[in-house]
Amino acid sequence: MSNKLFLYPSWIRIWHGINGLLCLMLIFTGISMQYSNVSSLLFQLKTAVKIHNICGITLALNYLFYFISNIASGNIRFYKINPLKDMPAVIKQIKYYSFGIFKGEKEPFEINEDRKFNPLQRYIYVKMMYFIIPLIIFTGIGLLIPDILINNVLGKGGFIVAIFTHTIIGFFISIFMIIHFYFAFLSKSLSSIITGWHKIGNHH
Amino acid sequence: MKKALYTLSIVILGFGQLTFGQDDNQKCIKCHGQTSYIAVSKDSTQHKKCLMSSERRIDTALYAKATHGKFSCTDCHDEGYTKVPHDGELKFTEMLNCMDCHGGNKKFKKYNFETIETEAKKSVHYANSKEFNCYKCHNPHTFKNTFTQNNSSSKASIDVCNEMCGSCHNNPDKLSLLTNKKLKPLSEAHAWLPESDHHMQNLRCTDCHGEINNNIASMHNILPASKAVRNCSECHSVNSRLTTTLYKFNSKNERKKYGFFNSAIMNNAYVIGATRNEYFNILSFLLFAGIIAMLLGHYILLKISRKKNKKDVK
Repeated sequence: MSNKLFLYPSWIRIWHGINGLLCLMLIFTGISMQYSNVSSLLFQLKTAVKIHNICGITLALNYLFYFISNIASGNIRFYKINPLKDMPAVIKQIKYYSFGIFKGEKEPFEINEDRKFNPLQRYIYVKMMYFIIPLIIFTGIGLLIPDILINNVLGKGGFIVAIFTHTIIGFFISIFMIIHFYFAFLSKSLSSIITGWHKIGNHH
Repeated sequence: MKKALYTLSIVILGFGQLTFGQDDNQKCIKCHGQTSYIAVSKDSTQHKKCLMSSERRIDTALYAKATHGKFSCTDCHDEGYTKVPHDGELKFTEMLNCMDCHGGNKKFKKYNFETIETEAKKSVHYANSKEFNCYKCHNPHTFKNTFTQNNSSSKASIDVCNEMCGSCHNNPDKLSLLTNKKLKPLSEAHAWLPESDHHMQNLRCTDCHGEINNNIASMHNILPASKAVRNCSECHSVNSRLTTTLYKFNSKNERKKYGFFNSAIMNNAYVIGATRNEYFNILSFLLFAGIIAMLLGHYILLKISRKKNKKDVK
């Protein structure tokens, strides 16, 4: 029996690679814009704004590709969650990362062809891909075309609501990236998203 | 008698270089396009060379390019002017008002003339002078709508807007037509403002002196000086009043000029400091530092526990 599983077809790997690089660029340029008074932080403001705009639009198009391909290829079946029913499994996974992992316990959920992500992973990925990323894309479009924004949101200008939502979500995505990298590193599974092959026993 | 002689009528003076289109207009421009004209007495026996006041002089080149540049003079001015030399008394006839053509007309709906009129009537200008009307700011002979032109930059629009204000506020003679108040020269009135030259060159007067209106062209309620923006943080802050006006205009305009993708890429209108909030910055640093510390802690604990687990197994 093979100890390797082919989990990530080429379109996912290409999308994931582009998405990751764009997110990194967006985070670096976003930080340069947010803290633009810190002299020569990563990028000059003007350069940062341009790169951020280009990367943002490319990310939106890449997301569209993901959204369509995920449905067309049937990969969306790995993204189905039931918040109430799945919660015990999610908590079990959190408990494992918080306590079990230190005791040398085995992972509570094995990865196989029908379960590509562990319950916590699946839960977070669904929220990221179908809520957080679309929200940052929509607010980003609003900031690029400010005249489409609603003028008054609960007494505040639509522009301000959009820019704060965009920035706060940007911070959350940055945190997601840090954690995402950490678990990929921890489970030594960085190579699986590059080659497509997942070594059984390695999860992140 | 002398007065009667000069009840002005006019006759050709020059053969200037006229670029004016309409034949009818040529008759008018022969005097109104020149710096001087010859006044003729009613019985045509006496002539006198007079200066054409700048108020009544038409710059033919600018008129030709203006929004109303294709019109005949008598489209707006009294029919009596078709006869030249014209009777000086005609200046007392009622003038055509902008709203006579633009008001309630579907064709001009996008320009929001009704809102403009309502806003303007609330302004300090209307409150202070019964003589005030659209023409006092918008010269109908040179007027071009910079905000609806595809190739206009925000800087060009700022200059056009501010020239309008300056035409009275930098010209005490013209201002005296509307008020007897003696106003301070603009530079003196704005001396309190840090970097006043920068502000006055790169913002429209109305950005500080007008009541905010979401449509940039509808901002016609000019407030009394006492109500003008004096608080730096109204612009240099999170909810900047400029984001409702100039930023939107800039972005919309660039899209028209460069197309959506190019303008989005070229978009330099990032609002500096829009999310510049001390607490927000501190919170974000804490969040990043917290997560990194947590993961580092997790990793160190994991290393220690794995070593311990190995020992226990042995």
